[in-house]
Amino acid sequence: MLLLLFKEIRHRWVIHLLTVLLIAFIISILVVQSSVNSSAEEKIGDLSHKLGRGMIVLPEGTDLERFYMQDYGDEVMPAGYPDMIRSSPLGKHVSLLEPRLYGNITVNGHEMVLLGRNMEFPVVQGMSEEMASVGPGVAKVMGVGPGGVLEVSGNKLRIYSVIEPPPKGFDMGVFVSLETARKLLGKEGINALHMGGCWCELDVAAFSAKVEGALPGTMAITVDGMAKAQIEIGSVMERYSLLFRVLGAVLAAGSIIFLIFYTLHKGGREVGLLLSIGLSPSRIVIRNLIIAVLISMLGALAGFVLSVPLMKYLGVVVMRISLSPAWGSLPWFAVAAFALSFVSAIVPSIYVSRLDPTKLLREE
Amino acid sequence: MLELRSVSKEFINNRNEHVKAIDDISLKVEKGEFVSFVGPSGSGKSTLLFVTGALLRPSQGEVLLHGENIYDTAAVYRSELRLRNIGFVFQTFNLIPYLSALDNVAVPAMLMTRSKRDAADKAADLLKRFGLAKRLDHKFSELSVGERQRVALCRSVINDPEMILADEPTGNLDPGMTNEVMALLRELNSRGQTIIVVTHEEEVASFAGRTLHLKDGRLQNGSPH
Repeated sequence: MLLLLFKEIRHRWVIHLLTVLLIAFIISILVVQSSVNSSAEEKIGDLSHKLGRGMIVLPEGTDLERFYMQDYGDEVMPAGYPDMIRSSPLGKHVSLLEPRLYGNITVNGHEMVLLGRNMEFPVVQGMSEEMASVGPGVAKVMGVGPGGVLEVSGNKLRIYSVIEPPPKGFDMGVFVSLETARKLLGKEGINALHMGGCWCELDVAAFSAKVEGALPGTMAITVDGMAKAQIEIGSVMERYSLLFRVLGAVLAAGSIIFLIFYTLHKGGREVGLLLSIGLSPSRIVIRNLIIAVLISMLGALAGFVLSVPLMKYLGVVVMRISLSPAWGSLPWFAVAAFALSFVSAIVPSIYVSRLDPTKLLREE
Repeated sequence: MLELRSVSKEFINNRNEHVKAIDDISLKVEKGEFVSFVGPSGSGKSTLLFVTGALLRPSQGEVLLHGENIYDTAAVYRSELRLRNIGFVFQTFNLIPYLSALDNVAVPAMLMTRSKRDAADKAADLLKRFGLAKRLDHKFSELSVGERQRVALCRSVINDPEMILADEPTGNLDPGMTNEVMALLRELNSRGQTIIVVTHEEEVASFAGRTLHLKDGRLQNGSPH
């Protein structure tokens, strides 16, 4: 019977695939609805350690998560942006303004992180052009120390110091001036602007929006801003959760019932034939239940997979961070899909099994 | 072996009128007989066949197989009966279009033995015996009309049923194919299988050992054997 069942699914693959896709879409929406809040909380908690109370302004399109994983893209913003902020009305709220140009370089097969920053900051203070300070990892793998030379893309950099301990995550860091970084990376401008200040009395989310307005093509990230977006999304999801679930269940059940009747419509004679050659009505019911459960389980799995880009997109658009579904809820969705398909398929399956085979056999 | 006692079947038509498709039919068919029912369209031939084949419950009367009224039994028993004891052949073949000839024939055997390999072996042997050795993997659309009916015949006999019921088995065939299919049915009958054929063609009916005529749902020359 299984052979017959799989061949039937293959024969009517379009309608089965469409049903799987519809269920997948429904499940993905429900996964997003149920996971977005917890995922956002987790991500914001993680980022708050990195961002603190400060703000980071990045070129629009920067993937924040990859940025924090030190995987830098090609996006840059004009070098004059720090001055634009300082001279704007927003400048009075900003006490710290630090432009940076981050990049990934490979030296003798070793991957390193290049960080170009203003010379007055402590890590590179007293260092001149054509000099670099390095993290201990770089010093070790390249066998260099103060006074030594590190050659990057044909440019010789004299080692000013080995920074012990290095800033967190910069064991393989190469610290240079902004100008040197631009030359080594072949980029103009900067790709990060760290800002700080006493913003206790400011609406930080609103302030970041003003910064974005003042610096076109940028996104200003603050923990407060992300938290606000998360609260907004969370409340929308919470407000409509019942509607989402009821609508999802009705649509999923409807698609299963439609599938059974569509198959009957297209293959009534086959059902009549199977009944006439001795397939019992109960096995017709089981056959339809197996198809329904199989389709809905596949739909649930595909829905979870589909929810990955959906959550990522939603997170980036609304909160500038990638969100991911809570994979722990997959078994619950699978159980729900199983139960729903079983319940929605049982009545139409019994109906089909009780049809008069002699009428089905005469269908044109 | 088979006995119909005052069997009638009534339907309600589109105008909500009660219509008797078959009316008070009584007859006996002995094991190994080849019986044909002849009658014009609408005379109740197919209804009689479906009632006989445990597919359609009569409105009145009894259908006894080996002395037991088959409609006094549960639906699952009647399914088993159709699977093991009755083979159906239809005018429109009713082959499953997405299965090969081999799989179409093997389906009833798979339902019974649950072993795909045994069923496939048996189906292949049958198809070879019926001259379809080169058509095992051909789908419905790749078979000629005569080949389709031979496949349907193979399917009806794969579980060695004691009775084969054929509903206008030659209705879609040309004269050459008609003779071929009827000769196959006669060959099956000669091996001990009971054959009941309904047809509107006297020539087809002449292959049977006994011919009964149906008109307006009643047997014209029919009386119990």
